[in-house]
Amino acid sequence: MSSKLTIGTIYVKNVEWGEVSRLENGNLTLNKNELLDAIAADCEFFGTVKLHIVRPGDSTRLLAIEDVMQPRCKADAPENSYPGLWGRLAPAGEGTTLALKGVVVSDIYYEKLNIKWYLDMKGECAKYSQFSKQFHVVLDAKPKEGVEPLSYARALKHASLTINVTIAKLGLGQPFDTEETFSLGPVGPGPDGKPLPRVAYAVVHAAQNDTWNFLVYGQSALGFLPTILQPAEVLDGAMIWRYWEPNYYLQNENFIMELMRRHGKDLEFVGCVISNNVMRIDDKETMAMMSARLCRDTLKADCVLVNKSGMGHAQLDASLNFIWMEKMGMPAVVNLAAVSNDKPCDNLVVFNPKVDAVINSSRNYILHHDRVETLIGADADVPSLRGIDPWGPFEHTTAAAYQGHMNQLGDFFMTADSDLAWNE
Amino acid sequence: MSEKLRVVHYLNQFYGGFGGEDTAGMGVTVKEGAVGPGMVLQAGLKGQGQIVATVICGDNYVTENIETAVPEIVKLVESFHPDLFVAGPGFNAGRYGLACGAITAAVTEKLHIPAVTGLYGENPGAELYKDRCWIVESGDHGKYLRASMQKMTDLALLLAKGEKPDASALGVVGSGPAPVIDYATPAAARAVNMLLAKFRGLPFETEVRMPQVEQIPLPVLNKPLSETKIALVTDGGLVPAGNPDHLPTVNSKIWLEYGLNGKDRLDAADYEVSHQGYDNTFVNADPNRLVPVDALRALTAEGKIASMYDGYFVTTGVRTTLENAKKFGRAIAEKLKDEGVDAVLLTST
Repeated sequence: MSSKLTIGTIYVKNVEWGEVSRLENGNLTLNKNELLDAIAADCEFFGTVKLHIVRPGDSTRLLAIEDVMQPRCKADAPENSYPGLWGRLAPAGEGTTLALKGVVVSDIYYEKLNIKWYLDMKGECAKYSQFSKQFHVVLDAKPKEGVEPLSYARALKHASLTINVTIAKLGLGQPFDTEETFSLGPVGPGPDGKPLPRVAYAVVHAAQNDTWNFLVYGQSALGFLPTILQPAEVLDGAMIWRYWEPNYYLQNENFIMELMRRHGKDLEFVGCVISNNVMRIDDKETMAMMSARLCRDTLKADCVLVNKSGMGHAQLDASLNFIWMEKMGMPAVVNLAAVSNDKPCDNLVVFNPKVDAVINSSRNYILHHDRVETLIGADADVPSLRGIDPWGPFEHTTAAAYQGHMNQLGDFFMTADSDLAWNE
Repeated sequence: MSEKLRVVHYLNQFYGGFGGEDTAGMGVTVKEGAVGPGMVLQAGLKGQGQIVATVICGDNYVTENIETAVPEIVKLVESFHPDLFVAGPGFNAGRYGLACGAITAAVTEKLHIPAVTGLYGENPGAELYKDRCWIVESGDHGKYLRASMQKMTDLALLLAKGEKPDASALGVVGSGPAPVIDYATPAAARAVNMLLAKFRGLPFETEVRMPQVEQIPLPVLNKPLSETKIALVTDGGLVPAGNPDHLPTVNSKIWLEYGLNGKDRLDAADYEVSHQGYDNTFVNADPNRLVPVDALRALTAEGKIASMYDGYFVTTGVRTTLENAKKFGRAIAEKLKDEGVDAVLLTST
């Protein structure tokens, strides 16, 4: 029997502070003190805590906006949301999940990180991000003096998920605007009478250290071996990045959603192998071989879609996955995000002609950023903006800098969240 | 193919029959049919194509007004409704090569028709445009006209039929033009479509063609290690505290050299890392683990190596283009040779 996940979405058209927290006809009102009370335990680790509502079209720049997430909760058991990390342990990826769309919860991250993002809500450059289309409830909390980076990261993520579920729960009992069910039930033959091609999805995720990591049911991925996850588990909060990329992209994992939507139509989606973007070349080779083995011998795949999150390093891991899949008789395609910008292949670190089927899911731009009236996270130290007045005006590449413009997993602002419009 | 392919050929003033250096400033002109090397092209087309026009322009006119002259020529080419465009070959001629590269790239990108030129691999035009259009290795001299035109014609005819050329057999320089990517279709949909096509053995086009990488012969150390002077080079972004020369954290366009003034080891308080691509906690804790000054000083004291160059070279190796990396490498290598360095310890991250 195969499990079913239904994601029911309620669209949010406006967000404001008020006395009584509620969601009514798409208008979300939040009581700030209630939210602060809900995260009081985590605030022990914070020096200062601020909550902001930021609206599309505001003259606001968010610096060090490291996570962006859709408010979501399990409809029948909200306490089981984000299981193992935030909620009680329960299998994710089945039952019904309530999601709000048009509003996100965003975290400003003050500890040192190699890559820190920024986002503009207004101006021409706002149209280069899918996140400027949405209202943000921003958790802006600095670490308390003496708190270790890992403790800060843990507390920040926990507080953020508390806010996330608290907001999502305001939609409980209300009708969904849209609803989609994901399941991998048995499939029949294709229109030609032949069995549908069995497609596996193998994805390498960056996990470098405690605070640049991903967690599966709360378990650290450092030292992880390749493993099979149910695709719907990824969509439903079993896997969380902590502080590398916005989890919005896992909640809406574009390759998984495409494969699940086409399951039974022109392919049979046989499952998903997750592996770790390790640092040493021998280890990369081992992970790739083991992933290929899981695809061929456990999932019995005919062919494999390979993807990655992580940059230059992960290009290598993904390419090795590609090569091992093909060596084991499974034709493969690999997505390498934004390897071609101004010139073809200018960000490519793999030069192997065997890697002959590549998707380049996005590209970068140099954008002009106007001077803004409000700067959130002003002293959060964004490495790519050092030496630049963060209030603007400035010009900067979107590469590893501009939030919501693209994601390593394949999202690109031009097509992502096409159900939402930019503020004019 | 019932109709013959309409071919437009581009030549400079010299091959177009207008003279040499004295006429290099001449503007754009057109002659009907094949001219000069065009005769060889016409013969190579073996009846499958017809040169409908030869566009001729002075090398100085193109290269000194590249912003305006190239669009002017592309517009003129378009007016002949060609199915195929061929430029040159330009051999090792600098300005002619630039013109052939620039015009062939512009025709490829603006008119979306198969376009081919032939250039010597080290022609600056090839260096600049080898990843934006099809360039066939032509040799460095006009005496190779027949041989190179044959390869150019074979490639052009394959492209016109929509076939995938065997780039190495045809002597293609670089990776050829970038495939056109349909960003309006989500990447996931494109990826699944490509995978199903590949599985079924149907044609598909990769969105990233792997560049052809030149093979670099491994140098041989021709003296014992104990007589060797070694230098330290890193792409790990180690800079003096405060990053006084603003080495970028990503996509650096510069490399820097910092003196060591006889130091025995690097003190963590004096250095920091400017690099967004790796977890640099351990380097910040002990910079010698990236730039092993302590170890080389010890090896010198033990007599295992003769000496260490009293400085280190650094850049940020993340999102660095291959071209910049090559440029940095060449410049650093020249400096090291001048300083009598025999070998380099290159630490990467």
